Amino acid sequence: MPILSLSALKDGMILSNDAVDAAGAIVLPEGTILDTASLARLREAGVTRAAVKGRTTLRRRIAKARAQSAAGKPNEKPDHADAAVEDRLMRLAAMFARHRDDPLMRELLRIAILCAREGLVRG
Amino acid sequence: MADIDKVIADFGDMPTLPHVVARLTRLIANPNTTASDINKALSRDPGLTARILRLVNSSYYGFARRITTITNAVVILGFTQVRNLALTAFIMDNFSVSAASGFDMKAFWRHSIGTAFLAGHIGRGLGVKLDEDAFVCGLLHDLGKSVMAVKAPADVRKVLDVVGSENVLFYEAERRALGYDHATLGAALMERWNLPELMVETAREHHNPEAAGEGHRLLASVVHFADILARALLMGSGGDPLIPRIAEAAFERTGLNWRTVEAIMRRSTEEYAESDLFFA
Repeated sequence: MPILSLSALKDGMILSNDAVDAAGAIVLPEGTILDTASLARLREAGVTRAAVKGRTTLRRRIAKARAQSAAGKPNEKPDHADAAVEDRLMRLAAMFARHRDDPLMRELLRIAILCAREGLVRG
Repeated sequence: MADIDKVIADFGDMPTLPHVVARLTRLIANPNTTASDINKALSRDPGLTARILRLVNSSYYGFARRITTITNAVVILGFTQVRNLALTAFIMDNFSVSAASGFDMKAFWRHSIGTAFLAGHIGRGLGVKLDEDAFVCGLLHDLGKSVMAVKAPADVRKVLDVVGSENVLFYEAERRALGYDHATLGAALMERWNLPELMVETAREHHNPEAAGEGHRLLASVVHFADILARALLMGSGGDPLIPRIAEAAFERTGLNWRTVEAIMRRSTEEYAESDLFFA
């Protein structure tokens, strides 16, 4: 659950706790999906930091495991995680193959790949 | 095209809507109904009451405090939403087991639940009350598949064979193998159960939302898009490993941009992790 400064908050992030102002009043509730309007509201209320749901947990886990492995501390779990992600990416590639020329489907595939790489897709 | 009434007649006895769901529907239509009346109607079915409360307390609804009574649930969610949850529980209880068809019912319902979450979020951004309609229409959009799997497993095996051998979508395989598809079947069953027209029309046209009546085209577009997003997120399975093309007019009708779509997809994956709450 990273706590980020206002400047690091981006569209699409999700608040993992209520965002509160200096007086402790709730500006945006937990679960809010940030967009341009909600970011402006945080700025206007003087909120300087907010907690958001982790987005890169799996990537970090894999990177850490690779580092461990390079240092001679093998860890099998990340290989499984890697394989699962690869499997999902292959399924997506096969699923979308017939829609290569469709711009809407290309955009959807881009997001689906992002979600799969971040471990959000569990299918 | 097959005569859908004959197809349903060949299925034999179909379950009727339980008394409590039919009674809730009548109560909702009465402007003098109170939360206490709904509570009384549901109190005759403690199992259903418990399931409704479990769903209401899931992260999809995101209430900060725990809801422990049906009266509270009605006050917070509204009459229609509570009736929809009761309807959901009934359908999932009656159409969830089909060992002989080769159709993975658990994966099927997971796909439906994922579609419901996604449709609910899309609907929430589009207007008052659309989210609750979108949620239940998303959940029941493929009702025809589950009924077919339970009532005519041999037909489903034929469809799955065509999906595998011809590499086509499930509904295309249904039309080739059986002469009808699950969308037509599901809509016909919903009509028999006197469910609201928007549910019937959305189930019938979720693969072709432009064909829906003007008053239901937006909801059909939402469910059409949510169904495809659920497939892109590999949420369960609709019976084939493919994904239909997004109907451009349907996407435009929702008014969504891709940044919002991405946020909705991310949010829905978290709720999807709790999808076991829907199973009895």
